[in-house]
Amino acid sequence: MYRYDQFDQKIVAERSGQFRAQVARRLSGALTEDEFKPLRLMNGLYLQLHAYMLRVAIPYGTLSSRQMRKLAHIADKYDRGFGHFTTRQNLQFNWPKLKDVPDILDELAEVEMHAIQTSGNCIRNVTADHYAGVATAEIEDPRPTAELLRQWSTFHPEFTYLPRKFKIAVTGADDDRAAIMVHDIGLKIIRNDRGEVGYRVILGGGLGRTPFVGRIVRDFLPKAELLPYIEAIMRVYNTHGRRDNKYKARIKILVHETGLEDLRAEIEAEFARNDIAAIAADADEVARIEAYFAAPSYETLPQLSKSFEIAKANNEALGRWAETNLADHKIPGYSIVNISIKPVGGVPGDVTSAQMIALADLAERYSLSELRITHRQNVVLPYVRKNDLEALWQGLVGAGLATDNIGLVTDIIACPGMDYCALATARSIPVAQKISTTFADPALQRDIGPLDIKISGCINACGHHHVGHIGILGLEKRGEEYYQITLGGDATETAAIGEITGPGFSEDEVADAVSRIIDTYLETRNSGESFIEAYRRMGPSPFKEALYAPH
Amino acid sequence: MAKFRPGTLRVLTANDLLTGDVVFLTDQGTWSRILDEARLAGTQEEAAKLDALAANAQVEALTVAAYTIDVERGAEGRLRPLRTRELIRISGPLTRLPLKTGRRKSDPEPEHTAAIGVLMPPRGNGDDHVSL
Amino acid sequence: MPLIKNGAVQVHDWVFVPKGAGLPSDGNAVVDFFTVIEAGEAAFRRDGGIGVALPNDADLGLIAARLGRIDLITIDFPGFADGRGFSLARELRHVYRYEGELWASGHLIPDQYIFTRQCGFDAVHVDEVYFTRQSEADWRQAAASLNLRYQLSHGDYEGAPQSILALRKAARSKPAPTIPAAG
Repeated sequence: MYRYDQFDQKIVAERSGQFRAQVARRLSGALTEDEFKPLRLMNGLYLQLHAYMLRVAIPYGTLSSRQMRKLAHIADKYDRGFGHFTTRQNLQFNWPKLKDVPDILDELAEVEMHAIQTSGNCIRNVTADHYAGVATAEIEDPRPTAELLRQWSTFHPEFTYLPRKFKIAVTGADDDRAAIMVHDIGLKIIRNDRGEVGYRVILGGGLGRTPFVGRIVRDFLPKAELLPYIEAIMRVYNTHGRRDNKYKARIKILVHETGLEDLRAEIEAEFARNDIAAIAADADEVARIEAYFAAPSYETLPQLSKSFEIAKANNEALGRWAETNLADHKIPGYSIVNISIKPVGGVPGDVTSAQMIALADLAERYSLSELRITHRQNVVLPYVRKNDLEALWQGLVGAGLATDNIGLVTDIIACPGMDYCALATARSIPVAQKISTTFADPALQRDIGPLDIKISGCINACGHHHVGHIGILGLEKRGEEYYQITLGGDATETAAIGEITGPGFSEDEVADAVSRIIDTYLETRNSGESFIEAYRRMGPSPFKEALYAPH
Repeated sequence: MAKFRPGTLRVLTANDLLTGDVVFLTDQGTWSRILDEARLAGTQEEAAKLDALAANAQVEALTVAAYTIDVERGAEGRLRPLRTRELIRISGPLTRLPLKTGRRKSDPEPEHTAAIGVLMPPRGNGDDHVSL
Repeated sequence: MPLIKNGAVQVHDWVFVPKGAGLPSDGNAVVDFFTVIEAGEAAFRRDGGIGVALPNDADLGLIAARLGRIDLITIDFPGFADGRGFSLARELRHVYRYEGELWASGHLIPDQYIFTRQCGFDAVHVDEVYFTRQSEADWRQAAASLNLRYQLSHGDYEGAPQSILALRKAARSKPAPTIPAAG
């Protein structure tokens, strides 16, 4: 993975010193809260319901065992012993004190981490495919691109006071695990007819109160032209993006109101007058970054591990876990291991400091000290030898991290909701817990098959409900929480925005409503047909019938 | 500001600037972590004064995001907010926290009243104390 | 309104002409964008420097032909969170090759000083009300808070953040003992 050189290290250290001085100016009254707020947000510091919240950047979701241990240390020393993995591959602490935050940033800088641009109206932490570098069908590892963008966007003098936040995601595979279709910019690494590698650029996707699936703005962008092209997009957005209405300020609205063709023409004109050669990353610099992501020296192993096959056959729980939590690795004899942070009845994405340490230890022992955080709020160990899978699983069982539900009905994405968030209009966590408990039976989960349930506690859609196969949006009406259900959403390469089924449900009703949707699927599916396939074949009618017909 | 409904009570709340803790303005012009120690506005006029204080520069010097909320007197005479959001804000997440969590030793005890700076003279001290 | 340059308050003799007041016959005068467009050549037949105050969404094409004769341009920052002025400054410097003096004017905070310089501004002309709270020392401290950058810069000055990319490049191109450095 990427390592800081002396310059990366110095700029992060300086940033922490700068924030310390900004805090002092806020305390002295030199900065008003209005002026201080964007500064603290650009260092990841929010004010939530009960306290401040610090969002630590995990660039493109990759972190080392050493970094994970530091997060555990911070959780214990400055917070309440746990953290929360977010839908943008970051980690949030829920109770840091403002007076401690400069010290926390110093501690993060010690392990090449920061909280830079994890909030605010700037270019946010860049996300990427969590299987980067190990996926079976990948044109190129997306992380060097994400790292290049991380550096270029860090303290960008022109693009730090944008109309609104700006999110970029990168993937190098056909299977989109990074939700690039619903980002402000989605980059897909592709190969053109002449065999050259470049990017397909998707623009104007997004969730929130006006969801859009992004559209192709450039079918093929040569790799070397990435930064000048992104600069052109950013400049058009900074200049023309709406600033009169916060809810219409994202680039998706500019795309929608200007029209893709006109906006594309403007971006291309801006691109043409950019000093492309000067802005483009130096080939040597690109090579320098890429070298950090070179494949590790893999052992030559047989595709199947006999010992693991025997262990699975003799241990039902291990077999079940292997069936859902392992993914194919591009190298024979290795597996990609998904660690579910969705224990049945638990809080999606919450990890205790003890679990962080366990994850760090297991990664050190079995995955070359590297971990990935997924936008689905789970953890990935990317380099596990199949021969080690049983021992790893035993370690996970010991840490309470062996939940075998990846991609199933209980692998629910949920934002923190009104239990933590100042913006939320309803709670998300208890709804996730109720659904998860309802479908706890492993056999039932497997019978239902792949199903994405995504829950947001307000219209801002941090829980990605628009792109859940079943999406749940918590709202408030006359002091009561209620939940709107959408169906047919999809966050992958076949991205779609879910359709609202009809009137919402109370907190007591919503788990039962989800049960009725799932029962309808089980009753009407064709053989081998997944929930989303069945929904696409039948449309919403049978599900609406089940939800709203008088019983 | 929300319309004041007779029969309800209004308090001024904020988060402490340095710690982020939820605090309430008291009768003494200090900030307390205890809702029952909050200064109560029981009339339209008093409520309007509290509303105005939310934007006061001296309030902003010590706290973040000050605003007023409506509360009622519940069982045993204790105050409780009308909205679920405010209840959660005061009592903490309703969901069970992961093991090994909860209050740390260094955190102040919940009963502790923290005076983080006197904002206003005590109530009843001559002229009513909205002119800060 | 104090003018801040290189972390210190500077004196200047520019007079800001209120809208519709007409051009003074002599002296350094800053007039608004539309007045200068309306005045046409007359704006330049005066005894004294001419400055133009631009809104942050100005169409630079309207004054492109006269940019070479404008001595000072100020770009308005109606609020510090409105970053359009940064892009407009860069456009002036990069696309229109404007070489005169360029000030960021209005509500800016010290933490933006470095960014203004990198986008091509020479100085910040900050509203009195904000300067009362944030003193010269605050501006000086903020101007020195970051010494490195990852991006191109459109203005260089003493104490400006250094380009990390250039530093890396220089480190790479140090001649190795046996291989002579390429041209």
